[in-house]
Amino acid sequence: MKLELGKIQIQDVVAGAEEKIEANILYINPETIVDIVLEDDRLAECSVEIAKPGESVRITPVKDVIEPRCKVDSSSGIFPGVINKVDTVGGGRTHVLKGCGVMTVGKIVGFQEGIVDMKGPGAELTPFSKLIEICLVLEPKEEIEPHQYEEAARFAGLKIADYLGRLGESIEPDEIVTYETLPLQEQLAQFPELPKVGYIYMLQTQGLLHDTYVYGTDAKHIVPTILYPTEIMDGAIVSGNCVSACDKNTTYHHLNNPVIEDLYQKHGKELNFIATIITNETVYLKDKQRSSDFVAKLSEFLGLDGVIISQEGFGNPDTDLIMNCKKLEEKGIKTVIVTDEYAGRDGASQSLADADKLADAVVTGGNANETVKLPKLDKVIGQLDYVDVIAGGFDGSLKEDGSIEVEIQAITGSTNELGFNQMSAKGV
Amino acid sequence: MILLTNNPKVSEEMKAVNNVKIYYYQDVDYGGILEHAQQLIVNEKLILLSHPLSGSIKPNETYYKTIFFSEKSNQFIDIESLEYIESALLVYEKFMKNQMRPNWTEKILADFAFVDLYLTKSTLQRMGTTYVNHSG
Repeated sequence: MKLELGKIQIQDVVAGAEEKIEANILYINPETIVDIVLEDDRLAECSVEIAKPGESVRITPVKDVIEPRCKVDSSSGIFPGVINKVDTVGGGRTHVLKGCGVMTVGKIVGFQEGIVDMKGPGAELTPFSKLIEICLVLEPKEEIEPHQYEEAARFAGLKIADYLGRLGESIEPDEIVTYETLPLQEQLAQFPELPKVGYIYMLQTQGLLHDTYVYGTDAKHIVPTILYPTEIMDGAIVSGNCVSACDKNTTYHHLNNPVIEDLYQKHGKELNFIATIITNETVYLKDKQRSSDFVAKLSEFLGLDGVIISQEGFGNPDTDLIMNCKKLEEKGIKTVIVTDEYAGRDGASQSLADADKLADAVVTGGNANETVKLPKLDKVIGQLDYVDVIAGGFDGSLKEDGSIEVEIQAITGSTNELGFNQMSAKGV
Repeated sequence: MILLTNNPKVSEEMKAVNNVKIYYYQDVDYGGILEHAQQLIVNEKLILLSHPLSGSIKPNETYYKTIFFSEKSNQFIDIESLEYIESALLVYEKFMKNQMRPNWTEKILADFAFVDLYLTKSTLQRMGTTYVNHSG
């Protein structure tokens, strides 16, 4: 499967009556966007606000971030099975609006969504401060339950990312990058001398408000399966996760998965990137055993020499991570795990909820218990009064002068377990 | 199966589910439920069916916890269950030592109870037990 990803660099976003992309500027019409969002009768209100890198703006509570994309000259669309037909994606051509994101903002369950600062020390901790954010500030109808609101907010973000992405269909991209993975036998034959490497992509699937969708299906009900990595770039995986802002994989993270990007960069040079195996993180212990057994079995079946395993979330998923790692190592398949840590504010405590001596190659996204002091910023998009109850906040987090002291777990993407962040620890 | 919980929403809604016994302790917190779970594993020799740290909400944030057990006692203590619960207790103590749980408002507690209820429903669904909400 071969995908051409045409990158259109968006240098500014301008709100007005026109909708177009011209000279790398994205023109959006907030009224049209609001109309599309409010087609969903579970939502009562929507306003559109634009936040730019370096502005004195704090956005909270942030639910999801989505990069606008579209399929070009194709009958299929991005986010298949969710807002477009459930056609197989990952081939042909896709245009992407780089440098901007659609951000859904609103309180789902009162305490778990994150903070994105566009300036200052908080901005250094999140990749989303580097994008021009098109914020959809949402309010649900009063009578709906949190999980219904989550679904409505999820669809709102995806629909607008799809809508804006289509403005780029006929635009000549600034850069085109080609990614290709061949059917298994051909891929094995292409670089027979290189180590065969796979990617084990663990998806958050513990239950409502902790879910991830693959071609529209709830991933907690799947057994591990194989995807071409390019399918993920076309939105085959979308986030429905509302918990643990720092290590939640937003839809933006899935679309721009850095493990996949880096494996392609080394493909044909240092390694032969064979496949992505998606698996889940479940609550039922029998599911954990079944899924980790399937991961090990599929990896062995593909003849992999080594894998990278990434995680999403805290606690229970640590067990899935270690089970996957252990079963793969016991089959002689080398593993590197990518995770983050909850090691206390001094960093001295045990980092994960589970461990095994076979997990001897670890990439960390940082210690989520570290604290940071965020100065007052001039403008808030969303609702600041929730900061006291956001994960990583604590009583008195919000000071009278408008500054906030929080653990970095309150900041969206700060300790991302795909490695889509700056923080890590290096050692031998 | 047995549902060990301190969540009033779980206690109320799961009453209608066939083959589910509810052990409801309304006056204990998350840590208290983990301790009760440890006792069921050690004294009653029950087997854990769900991960005690279910959900990615931190143990020093949420107040509520629901854990699934098999109804049938084993002849011996199930070592795997014991390892899970002991590890969960260590994680719980670590988090509470780092930062005590705030004194939440009723609204926030209701949100936490909802999330725990959702996870419980999803887990029941995975176990193949049909959940019927008789309240409408």
